[in-house]
Order: sequence, then structure tokens, then C-alpha cells
Amino acid sequence: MGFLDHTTNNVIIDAVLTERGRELLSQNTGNFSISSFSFGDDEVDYTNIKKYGLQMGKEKIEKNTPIFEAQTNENLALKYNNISLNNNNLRILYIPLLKRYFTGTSSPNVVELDINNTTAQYQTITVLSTLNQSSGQTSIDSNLIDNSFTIKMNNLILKTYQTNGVELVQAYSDLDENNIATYSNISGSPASVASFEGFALSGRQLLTYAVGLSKTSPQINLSTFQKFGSIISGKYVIKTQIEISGNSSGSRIIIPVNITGPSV
Amino acid sequence: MASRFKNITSTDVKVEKSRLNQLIDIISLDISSVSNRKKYPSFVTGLVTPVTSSLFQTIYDQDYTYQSSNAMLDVAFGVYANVTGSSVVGSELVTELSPTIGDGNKLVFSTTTSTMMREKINVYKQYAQALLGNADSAFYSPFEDTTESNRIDEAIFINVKRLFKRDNIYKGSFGIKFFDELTGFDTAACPDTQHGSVGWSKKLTGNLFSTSNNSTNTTNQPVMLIDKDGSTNFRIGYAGEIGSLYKTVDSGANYISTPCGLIFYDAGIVVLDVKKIFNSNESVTGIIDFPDSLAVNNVVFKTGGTTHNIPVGKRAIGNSGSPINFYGFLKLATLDDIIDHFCMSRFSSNLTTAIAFQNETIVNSTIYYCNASPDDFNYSTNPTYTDSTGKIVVVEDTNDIPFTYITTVGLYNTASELIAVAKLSRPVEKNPLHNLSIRVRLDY
Repeated sequence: MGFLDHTTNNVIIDAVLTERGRELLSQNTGNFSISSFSFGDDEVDYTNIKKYGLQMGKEKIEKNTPIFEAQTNENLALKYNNISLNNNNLRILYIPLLKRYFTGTSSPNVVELDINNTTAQYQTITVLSTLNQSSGQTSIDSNLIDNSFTIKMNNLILKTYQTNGVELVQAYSDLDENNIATYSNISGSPASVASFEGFALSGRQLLTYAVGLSKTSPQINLSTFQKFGSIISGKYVIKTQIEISGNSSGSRIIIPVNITGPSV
Repeated sequence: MASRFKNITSTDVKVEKSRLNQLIDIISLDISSVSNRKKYPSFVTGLVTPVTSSLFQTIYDQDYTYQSSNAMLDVAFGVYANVTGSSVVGSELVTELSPTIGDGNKLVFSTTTSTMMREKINVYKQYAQALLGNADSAFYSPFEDTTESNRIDEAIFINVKRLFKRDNIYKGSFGIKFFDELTGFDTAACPDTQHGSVGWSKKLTGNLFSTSNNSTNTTNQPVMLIDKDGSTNFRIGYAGEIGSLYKTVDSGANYISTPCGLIFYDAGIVVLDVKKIFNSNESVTGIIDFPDSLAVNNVVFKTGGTTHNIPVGKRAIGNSGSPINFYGFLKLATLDDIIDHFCMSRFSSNLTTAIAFQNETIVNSTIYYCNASPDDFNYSTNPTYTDSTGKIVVVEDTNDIPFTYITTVGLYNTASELIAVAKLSRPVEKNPLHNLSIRVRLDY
């Protein structure tokens, strides 16, 4: 944490290496080379602006926001980036949301998997990057179209699957100390037409992604359930989640996953 | 596509070097306490009655058996001696013992008049090799002197551990306070009164292992050795920068002009000249480890005092009718006994400062100038930045000026991996009306 000098707009603060940074430094392969920076506002609650008005809300944020110490886990240290738009003169009012998309009548919020049922060991998830119809918008600004997504999930429990139910050996781009695997640049597909949500929206993107139980390296087993699970109705149940974010909008959705395991 | 990153160019990166000082304060009790000193018994006499000893001891900041203890100092004792042709030159401890010269110039000492003399010489040679570049060289104080009177023939070596030394000891900051004279050599404090119920615990015996020196003793005040003028008057030798230690009895008001020790700042090693800091003719008394194979009964330490039976493997010195001086002790004693004596009798058992210095850490810093122009980073991916419909909450319409706050700066590599992170002390507003420059320092 650094201190701000009010006499100048120039701030100097100390940085700490993340675990990934230390790993790269220790590897000495030349990948420890800082080439860009980003700003984040993880602690800020912008709803203060709505609650208290612009001036009072700003004051609340500036004076009443506790800033946490830096974390060294690269997945936790900076979650919410500030973003820049390509068009300098552009003023936008809406940022796309990520929401689950269901084709049938059922729209369960939670993904249910069951190790005891071979047909329930994986599930295809569909997510839309879209705007609400109430926004009155007919297009998503080109800066914010989520052509690709980033997915994070516990590598000890969940893996990427093909939509036909075959576990996919896909290299994650990062695995942190908590065994959270990050899969970057998962492509979406255009979903502009009205058939998706009942209204046409240019720039809407669809992500179809299958996840299932980790069956290889490592394989989910009884000890996994004993370690991470709780006992519900005589069976081990692991409650975990999948975090999906749009690479352009930065919007994210957290999808809860319940995994039913063996009987106690 | 909206961008989360902004490139850092070579002109945005500056490097600088700075020095960080830390004050280290070692209290007397840590040195004098037996439980704080770890021994490494690696020496065993090859006689019928074996005596074991370490070659050095490590002083911890608390009981060394605790996992939370930190090693602070290593203490060793060494004696200078060299074989020149058919004669031995060096400390009078060695020459007075008249050792014979064996094969390979190995010195052979009588086992009845000395202990561990070869080890004492070897310890000195090891330090000479490391600090002077030649195992046969001698330390002199002042460093560049070559007169015999300024040669350090008997040396106490104090190594400051890396945790406390850091990169080096800061020149002109070192001071050590100890008793140059012993207490307890009088009839009232002879072993008779201290021996008794604890059996053969020699550590409570005589003035050699007395812990009675303390600040309440008005007749025996400690002296200080200080590397005065160390920052402006030092030498650079084989092992880096070297300063001289000067003795003062009045807390720095006056100094004895001839230095009585050396300090190697880079190595973090202090070399004390025993004959200048202690009184070599001072009478001593106590019971030491010695490979005597016969028990001695009816030993009396003071006239009319209690008689003691000294078992094998021990020797009473300074007992009634057999006075012995400090140099005699240095010949007879094992290295463990000499270091025990130095730590127990020369440092008080209270909480006053015994050794103080500043260490120095050299910090290489890279400063990244993270410059955000007016159009950068004016929107946020924070979930509270939009409402449930995706509407940005900080603006009402497109005429309003968007803004964000910044609490965190992330530094990324070319693969967009977060490799360093820095936090601000409070949120700083960013909007299109001004630029913002945050300097992020990464220390190595």
C-alpha cells in the first residue's frame, strides 16, 4: 500500500510479485518481462453513486472505502479491471451482461452433476453476452462484443468436456496455488437474431461450453468428496462454481455446481 | 475491443538503487543465557577420559530449542601460531607450551598442560583464510599495522548471522559492551558458595562462569568497543571493508587510542583482540572440562573452605594455593569453556544492550511509470458498475462524464499474466478530464 501525495498527481506505490510472477522469475526463461499494466477497482462499490447521488457518492467511495492488502494469488489480486474504449469520444451507457441461456422450459440455476449416474457426469452450459431488452439498445458497442470468454473452475473437480460427453484434454492457461484452472480465449459465436431472446440485438454472443467431472489427472474420487464435500441425505455433495467472464466487456457470471458423490 | 491493458514502453521504466538500514539490538541476557547458546560437540579427546567440545557456538534470540528462535551470532575463539623453519611463532599461549613440531609442521602439545590447542590455531587460520586471503596471516589492529604488539594473537570471533547482518553492517554503527574485568574472585564468591547442591555444574562455579556481573555492580562497569569514525575512516581488504574497534570506558567521551579489534563490515565478522580487551593476568577460578584421568579429592578453593572431590574429566583451577591467570585458563580450557566464559562472565544477565549496530540492505528498484491518458480506463468491469440491466450506474446519459476509481495496479507480461500487483491507500478517481500517472516500484 502506498500513500498519496496531495501536492501532485504523481503517486508511487510498492508492488509485490504474484505467485505466477515468482514462478516465472525462478524459471529464468525470459518470460518475466513486464510489458503492460492495468488498473483495477476491486474494493469500490459504485452503488454508492445511486444511493447518495454523484457528489456524496464519490465522497463515500473516496473516504469510506477500505483498501485491502495486495494478494499474491494472480487470480485474486486483481479481479475487476478498468477498461479503455478504442473510440476516445465514445460515451457508452450500457455494458453487456452475461446470463444463462436455456432452450427448454427448464431453467435451473444450479448445474447438477452426479458421479453415480453416467449420464449426469457432464453438462453443456450456454451463456449469452447480451443487453436487456429494456435498455432499448439494438446493438452492443463494437468495443464490448465478447468474441471470446475466460472460464475458471477447480481443476481437481471439473474439466472441460466435448458436447458429446467426452472429457477434453485442454491445456489451461494458468493453474494457481488453489488449483483453479483458467481457460482463456474460449470462442463465442454471434447470436444477434431475435430468436435468442425475443428481440434482435447486434453484437450478442453465445458461449456453449461443456463441463463435467474430472476423470483424469486428477480423477475425482472418494477422497475428493471427503475433502471438499458435505454430507446431504447420506451422500457426499461438493458445492463448487464455474466463473465465466467476457474478454471484452469484462462482465462475469458465476454458475453454481452441485456434485453428488458416493454414499457415506 | 475494449482494452484492459496499456503497454509500458522503455521510457516508462527507470531503475534506482537505495539502501535500507535496520537497527539491531542484542541484549546481554541473550548472550549470557545458557539455553540460548547452541553447541556442536564435534571434538572428542582421544584419551581414557574423553572430553567433548564444540569448535564454535551459536547464540539465539531465545531458547534455541524453540522453533521460533533465530540464530543471531556465532562465537569462536582462535590462536595465532605458525611454524617458521624449526621454530614456532605466534601467541605466547603457544610458545610458552613449547610444542614439538611433528610431520607436516603439525604442532604436538602436552595433554596435561593444554587442551584443543591445535583446534584453537586452526580456527584462527580458517578466519585468516577467509578474511585475509592467507591462512598463515595474522590479524593486526590497526588493520594495516605489522608490529608484533598490535598483532591479534588470541582472538574472539563474532559472526553476525545473515538474518541480522543482511547485506553488510553499516559502517560507524557497531558497538559492543562487556566486562573487561571479572568479578567473583574473592573469598565470598569462590566456588564454595556456588557449587553445593547443583553437583558438578561448572557453569555456576567461580568467576570463570559467573553470571554475577550486572548493572547493579558498581565496582565493575562494562567497557564499550565502538567502530568510531567507521564511515569516514576504513580500509578495503581481501574481505571487503574493514573498520577498527576502539575501547571507551565512558560511553564515547574518551577512547583508548590504539584499536583493540577489527570489524569486517561485508562479512559481518568482528575480531576482538583478547589481550587488549581483557586483563590476561587476572586470577581466575572455576572447574573446567579437562581430560584428567584421576579424581582429585579434598580440593579447597578458599582457606578454610569446603573441600570438594573433583571427578575424572574435570579440573579445578585457581583453587587454594594454585593461582592461575586468565591466559592459563585459555591454554587449559576447551573451546566450549572459553566461549562459555566469554558469554557468561563478560555479559550481564540483564536486559541491557550488549551489541548494537545497523545493518544495510541494498535495494535495487525498478520503477514503472503507469501513465493513463485522459481516454484510458474510464470504464470498469466491477459488477457494481452496472445495474441489473447492464446500465452504467455512474452516468445518466451520454452527456455525463464517465469515471472510475483505481485501487489496484497490475503489472503484466506479454502473455497477459499478472506478475506483480500494487495497492493504493485510497481510491483515486479516473475520468476523461485528466490523465493519471502512478509510479509502481518493484524491489529486488
